[in-house]
Amino acid sequence: MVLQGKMKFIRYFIFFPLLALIGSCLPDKSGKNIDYFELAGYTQGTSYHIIMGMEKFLDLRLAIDSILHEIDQSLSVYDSLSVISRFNRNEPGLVPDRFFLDVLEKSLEIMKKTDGAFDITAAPLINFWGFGTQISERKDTTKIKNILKYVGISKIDLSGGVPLKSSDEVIINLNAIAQGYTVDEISRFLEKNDIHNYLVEIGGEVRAKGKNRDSEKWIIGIDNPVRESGGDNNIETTIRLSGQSVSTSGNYRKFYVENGIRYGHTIDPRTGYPARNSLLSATVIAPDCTTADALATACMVLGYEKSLEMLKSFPGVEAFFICSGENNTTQVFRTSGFDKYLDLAE
Amino acid sequence: MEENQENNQKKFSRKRRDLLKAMASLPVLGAFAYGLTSKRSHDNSLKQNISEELKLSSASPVKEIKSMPKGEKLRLGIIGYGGRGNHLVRSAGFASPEWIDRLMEAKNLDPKDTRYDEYMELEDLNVELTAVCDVFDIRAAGALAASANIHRQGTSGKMGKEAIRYKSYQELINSKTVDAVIIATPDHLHAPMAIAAAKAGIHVYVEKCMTRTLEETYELAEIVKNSGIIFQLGHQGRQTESYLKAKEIIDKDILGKISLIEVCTNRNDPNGAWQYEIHKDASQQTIDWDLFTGDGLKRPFSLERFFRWRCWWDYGTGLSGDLLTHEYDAINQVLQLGIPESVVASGGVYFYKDGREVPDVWQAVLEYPSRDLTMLYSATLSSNRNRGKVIMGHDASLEIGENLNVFADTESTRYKEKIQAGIIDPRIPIFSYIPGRKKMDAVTTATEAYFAGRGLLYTYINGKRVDTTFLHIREWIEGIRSGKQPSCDIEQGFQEAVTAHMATLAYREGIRVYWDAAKKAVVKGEPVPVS
Repeated sequence: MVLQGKMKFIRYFIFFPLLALIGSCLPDKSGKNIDYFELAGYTQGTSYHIIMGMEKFLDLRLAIDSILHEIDQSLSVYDSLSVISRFNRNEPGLVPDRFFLDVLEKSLEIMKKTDGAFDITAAPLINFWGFGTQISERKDTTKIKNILKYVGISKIDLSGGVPLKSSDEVIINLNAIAQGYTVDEISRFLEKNDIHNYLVEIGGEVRAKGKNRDSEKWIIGIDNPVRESGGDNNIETTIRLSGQSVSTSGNYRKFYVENGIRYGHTIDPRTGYPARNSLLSATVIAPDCTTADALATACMVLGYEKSLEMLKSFPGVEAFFICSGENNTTQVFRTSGFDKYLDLAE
Repeated sequence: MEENQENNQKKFSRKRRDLLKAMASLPVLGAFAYGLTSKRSHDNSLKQNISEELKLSSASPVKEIKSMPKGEKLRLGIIGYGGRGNHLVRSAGFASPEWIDRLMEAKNLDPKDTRYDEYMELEDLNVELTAVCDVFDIRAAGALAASANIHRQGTSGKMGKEAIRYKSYQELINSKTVDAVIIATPDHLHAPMAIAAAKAGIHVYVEKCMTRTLEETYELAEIVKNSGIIFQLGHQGRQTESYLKAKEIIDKDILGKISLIEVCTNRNDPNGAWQYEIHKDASQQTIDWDLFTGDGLKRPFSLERFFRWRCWWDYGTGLSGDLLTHEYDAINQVLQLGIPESVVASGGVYFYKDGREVPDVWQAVLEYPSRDLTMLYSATLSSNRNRGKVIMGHDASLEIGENLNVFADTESTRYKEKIQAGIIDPRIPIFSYIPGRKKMDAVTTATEAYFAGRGLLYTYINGKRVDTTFLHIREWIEGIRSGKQPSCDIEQGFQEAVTAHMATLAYREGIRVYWDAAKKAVVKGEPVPVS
């Protein structure tokens, strides 16, 4: 998920996670009863839900809360003492933690494979364009050229094991991949605790494994980007996952209209200008949530057709696109293997 | 602000340390269920039972609507084709061609506007609109046009046979051209019309408020009960999923002892304050004023009184009959309170000083001492603040809107341990229900989570949006075919009308009004003397 433009400084409260028993599924093959628990709370400026099936009750709230806390201390750009903030400020003697290194490594990998459509160095560009600014106001090509000097895959080097910037002005922002990564990290923790039926969701990024309490694959709704809340369901379609992750990136309410077509505010890090494509939202299913999160963002930059091309180099990844057409219409496109995830019971 | 945050962090860290110590003593089971099942703590099958007992599932409480056996074609009549009558008749399958045009146009502009498709998909109830009656010629013409629109077409579509227009309701009822009648006139005509229909063996759907006076209420109830007709009071809120779910929550005793219920009306626009539009072609030539005023009410012709009738006691009962009734019915559906043992009320015309008689700010307190609770109704027509309905129990409160939320009380006895242990946070609902959500485990979205407010007009059956007015009319028609009384029958209507009229009486005379359940009579209390 990418956060465009100026981000409001969100002070979020570390609510102690709320836990509830939500039901039990029928005994599984081995005859064991599994109880399902749901954990809910707030993190990274949004809400999260974790549904876990456990034979024996384990109170993991404290542990999960700690993981979230540690990740913030590593990756949160809103925490001035976090690793990433200090990295951006070029503090000497910074020792990066494993979260930071992990995410950086994955980011660079995806930056390369998407040819820069996904780019963690693009923050200065996004800040420049701002939130809801008129596009015509920002045609200062010189300014953009100057910013582009610090944007791109060549600006970060991890080859020596220690992250290095090509120059002090380079700023990184991991918001477009951090939530997905956090979902994966929590999931790994659950599996280490022998929990193999779970759904982890943070701010709309989801990873699901095993079965839900009705002994079925997990049912996930894909949000409809265009319909506002006026009496409508807001769900475009539903999918079923077991052993995959899903992430959605979108322009939902922020767009401008030119020649009757809606354009989003996704900035293309390669050109420095808003990506001129008709994609309103991209939903990516991938084996892990870090990849899904980053790729969803990349798709918004590339647009529908180029995304299809790009996704060929990611086996096991499927995507669902909602594009705007003329006269307020929307069109839906899917990659060839997406349909196997559709919930046909609807 | 920074300091507070720091303090919170410090407090939080300390809390975490304390909790680590407390963790060891937590029961192995999901703690949330623990308190609720204390009475069964020695039961060996505890675990299984907890799940079942707690199972406040997010599944919709409404079953799939089975399609009705067609039966014979039912002949419907409509008396009163104003704003509400329009909607009711449309729900029965007869829309004005212009209305269909508008929906088709909306769909062309935005293919995602599903209202046209939804209307076209509404089940055919196998009824025909054979008779219409309205004292205003323009409206009567509209009703006739709708009656002919049997294929749900726009203005360029193929029409069927038109109904017959009757000048007076007596003529319509005695015409022998209807099996059932929908009454959507101003309140003062509800009772005479419904009584006449019942006596003629014609089934009745009448809009709330069922009657204008207490006397009418007794008379109507008696006649309807003896007539054997199928009677439905117009309260589409009955069909809302949220209320059915709320009942489930109450039945499971999650709130603890309930002692206060707060229901409200908040509106802040002229239309909401009954300043309805006066039609440009309305005049003494196009309105039969004598038929409108009914027997015994001779007044000079007034367009204001005709269109804005809710503002005068001659035709309605203001907030009491118009809006308290909706709230009362909703709560009655969930809690089965019945008629209050006593009522006081007060208010005044504080904002809409347009010559109206009925108050625009009004509060009524309904007492139920034998249930140890009070229902408080608070209304203003000059503030749009969102207050919603709340059922307050000692252990938790239930907020009823289109979504339901149950919040544990910070001082709850039942949930005390869980709150202290941090398992329940009183700021976060312990249960939420969002109707319309097709059964899902999660939603992938790029937007922040939010609870969408949905309009009062729709509910959801298994995720599909359905018009509640349609459901209510359908329930009535189904009742006519099966002989089974629908949900808002004469007994419900009686309780509600009596309650509303007690409140009106309390207000107008400045007294406490009592209900003698044994004698089934309203008793006026004495005004309190000032010594």
